[in-house]
Amino acid sequence: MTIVELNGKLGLELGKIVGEKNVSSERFVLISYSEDASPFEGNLPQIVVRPNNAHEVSRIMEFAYERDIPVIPVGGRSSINGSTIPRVSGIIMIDMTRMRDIIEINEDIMTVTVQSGITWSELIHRLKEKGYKLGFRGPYGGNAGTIGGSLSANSIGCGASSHGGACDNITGLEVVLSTGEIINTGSNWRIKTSKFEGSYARYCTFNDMSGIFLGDHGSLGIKTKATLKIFPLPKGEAYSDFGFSSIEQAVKAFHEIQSNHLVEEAVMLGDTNSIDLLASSYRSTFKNIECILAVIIEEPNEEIAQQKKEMCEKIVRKYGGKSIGMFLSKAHWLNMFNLVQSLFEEGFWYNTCHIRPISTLPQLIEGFHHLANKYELKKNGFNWIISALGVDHCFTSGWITIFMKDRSNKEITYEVWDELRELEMELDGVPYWTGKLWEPYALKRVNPSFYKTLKQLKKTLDPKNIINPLTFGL
Amino acid sequence: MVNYSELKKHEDLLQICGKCGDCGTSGTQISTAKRHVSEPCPIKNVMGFEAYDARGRILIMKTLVDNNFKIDDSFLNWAYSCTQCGSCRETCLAIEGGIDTPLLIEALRQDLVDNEFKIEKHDRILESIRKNQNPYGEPKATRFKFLNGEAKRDEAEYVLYLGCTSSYRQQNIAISTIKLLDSLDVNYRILKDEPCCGSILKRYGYRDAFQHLAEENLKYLKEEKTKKIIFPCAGCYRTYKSDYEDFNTTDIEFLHLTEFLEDYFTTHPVGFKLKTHKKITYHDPCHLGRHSGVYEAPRVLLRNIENSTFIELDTLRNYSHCCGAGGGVKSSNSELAVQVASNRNMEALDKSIDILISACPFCERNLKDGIPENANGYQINDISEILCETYQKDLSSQVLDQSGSESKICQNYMEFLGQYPEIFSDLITGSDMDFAIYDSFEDFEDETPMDIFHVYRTDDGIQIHSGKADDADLELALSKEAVAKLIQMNSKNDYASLFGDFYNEPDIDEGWIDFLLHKRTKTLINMGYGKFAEAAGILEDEDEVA
Repeated sequence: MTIVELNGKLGLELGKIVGEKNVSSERFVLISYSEDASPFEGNLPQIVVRPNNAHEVSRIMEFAYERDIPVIPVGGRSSINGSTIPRVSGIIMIDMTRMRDIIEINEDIMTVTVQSGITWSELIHRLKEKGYKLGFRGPYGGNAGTIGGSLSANSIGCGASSHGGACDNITGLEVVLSTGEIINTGSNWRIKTSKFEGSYARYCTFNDMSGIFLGDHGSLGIKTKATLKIFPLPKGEAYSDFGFSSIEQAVKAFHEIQSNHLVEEAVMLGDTNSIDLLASSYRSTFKNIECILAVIIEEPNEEIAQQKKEMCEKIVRKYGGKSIGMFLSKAHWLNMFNLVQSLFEEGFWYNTCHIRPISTLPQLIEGFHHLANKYELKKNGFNWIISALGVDHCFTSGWITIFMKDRSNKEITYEVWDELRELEMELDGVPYWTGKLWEPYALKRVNPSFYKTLKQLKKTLDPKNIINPLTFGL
Repeated sequence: MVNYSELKKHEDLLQICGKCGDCGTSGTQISTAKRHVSEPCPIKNVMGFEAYDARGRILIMKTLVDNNFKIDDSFLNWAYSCTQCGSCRETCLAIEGGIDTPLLIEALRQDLVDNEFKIEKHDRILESIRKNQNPYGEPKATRFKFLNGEAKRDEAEYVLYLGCTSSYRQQNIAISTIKLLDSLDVNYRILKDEPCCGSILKRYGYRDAFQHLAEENLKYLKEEKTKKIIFPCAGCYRTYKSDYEDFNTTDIEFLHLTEFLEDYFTTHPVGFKLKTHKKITYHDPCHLGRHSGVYEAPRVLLRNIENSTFIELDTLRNYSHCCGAGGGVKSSNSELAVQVASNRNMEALDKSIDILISACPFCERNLKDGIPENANGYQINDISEILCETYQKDLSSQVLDQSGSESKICQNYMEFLGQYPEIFSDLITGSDMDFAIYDSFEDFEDETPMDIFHVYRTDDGIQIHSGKADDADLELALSKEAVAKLIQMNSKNDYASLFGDFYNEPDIDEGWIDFLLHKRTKTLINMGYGKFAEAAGILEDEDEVA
């Protein structure tokens, strides 16, 4: 049966699986699902369906597989890479946000198992009520962003300096395959006999099967559950802001703090424009600062937290930096998922988030400033922010975002945006997520043998290529 | 081709949305800061799909303006499914004050009406208002029939404006308001030809009809030599105070009943007591709270009812969930409105509340319609009813003296700050910050200060008021140990130095200071809080100290 023939029946059939209230093909509903938080556009989905559990997802996949209908799973759609926008027409969009239960908080193996549609903000608060925290806390869009979405997109954000990105923090998954079969990864590979709901170890017995689905941009299977590491809430906290008169000084201090694993989060504002944008009075209060490093420390007691703060201060002074209070680091941490929103008024955001060695930051920033001069960004009404976040083990996620205030400057925006991404790749950067944002830049550089293997993997797991087709060009 | 001329006027607002999704988030609380946002869109919470929250609505409206797709009945139902409660606006941090989605929805509805896409029922309501001066199709002559000819008409200081809903449907609110004002010997009268305020016309998008009505109403009030009006209806109050602003050339003072009473009891004896002990809570009506900025007055009144425990709901003040009736949803899609109300009632029932009190006849009616079946003994009241029922003249020996309710240490701190207004000189006029004093750090975590006052920056100095500000920029939280030491300082510089120490080197036993930001960091810095922090010793360049 073709998609066209199915059109009238699709809603009815899917409604039998998830309930008719949870299916819609109204045009205005489809439009509301047609974009994420990036500037990219794509196809409208044919229908949106909102399942409640893995069983329903499995039945949707069986239905789609039998009829060769493409599907795309989506979470909060707060991604800024365009990975949740349909690339093909006639697609069933599976909105996972109804699947938001906490299945189990296991204090024995210190994990939490959740349905993948739960948001980071909700999970953080639920855990806090029980005295626990996550390692990685979620991307900066974690109010709407879901666990499943972040594991698909390999998000990096809050807490990454100490704990790595989203995928570094899981011990197991439940995944619905393209055929509708359900598998569990990690220590849950066995036929169910264990009292534990979640997997307590990611690496065991066989290959790391979780890793296949992590960062897959929802293209190899649909993650319906995830088990994440949890930690006791800290009893000691410390915050510090440091000012530096040069990026070279700041990067040396940043690297030493990160390599010594001293902080929960280390985040840097990379030039005076970025400081003026976020903390406009700082450069008049604190003389001679070109960039700021803010650190957040969380430890089991106050004494250790203070000791680590003192160690950071010592490192900063060694490289010529100075302490400038703790207002920014505290505001940054307490407003965890509300950091970027206040920049929206600068214009729509064209981001280039990627990862790179910390030592390469000065060269990148210099390169960007060259571009800013070349395209007279300030004169043309643009603004920008350069930020860098420490990521475990010892690298950084670089965040250069251009804000386009005047929409008539779209042409310049796309030129700068393109040149910047080329520059970032040339200067040893690698995208941590891909999507429409990075795909063209990644695919022209990918090693053919690597890509062939990726293709074979896709073919094995999704032989009919129905899950998020065209992702990674597959 | 539909002409979206009204919507196009707000294209900048449509474009500024960064599509972060905060406005429809399913999270329990947004971010880790203490913002009491929880699943902010009451309609999306029922309907589920993205199209019903602000991010979805903005994307749909943007597409309409750019690509002009076909309008059908289903789309019209969607356009009238927003309560315009403003919860998304409060949640949004893209611009200060948030993207005004209620305004965008109103513009869309105006365009739909202008292009003849109308809902038949709405036209009937328009006709009823034109013909009968009420939206309910009731005869104009029967408006005050329930008062049995006893409405006060003699010249008086105040006009009591009952509104259509309290006159024709929720007469319990009109009667309790009148009884209460009579008990208090308030000098008021009721207008003989009290008109419909026209709120519903504005929400439906009947811009021209609304403007015409507003001008007629203001003319009538002027002819009646009205100076001050008391509204028990939050909807009428908001309409006169805010929505008429563009046409209003009068100097009439508009007061919601709760504002009037709060002020009245500062000079007149007050006494309220429940017969049996009850757990009570307050539901912020969107018209009164988010749209008019009145949060504290009803709370001050309710906290004064003896034999009751006042408990806040988890979503409150500017983050309060809507009852579901607003924006014309009750009349356009009653089933949806009741489902929203049921969700709100569940929030109160989860806290074992006995009486949920509101200050708006629409909220009262819809919340009553949405009482879940198993809610035995659970009650919904308007604030006029509970105050009327519990008012006791014999308890009335004291006026509301909020300054006397603070601890000695708090009074001393207020006095101390009054001596140093220059501490606040870097803040722009209109800045308003809460000072909350905490008994312990646990109380700070639980958000239960022992005392709270706010400092308001005026053109030429500061005003220090008891209680929480209606719209504070931030809360400055201090342990009582810190305050005890700060008020011993003999100069502004010593104060700043110690203040900075308590913030930068907090100590649970010796003293600590913290901030809860209610506005965006960037906005606060632009308001002068960066300089304030510098003057207060929080930000200090060690090179200059050295």
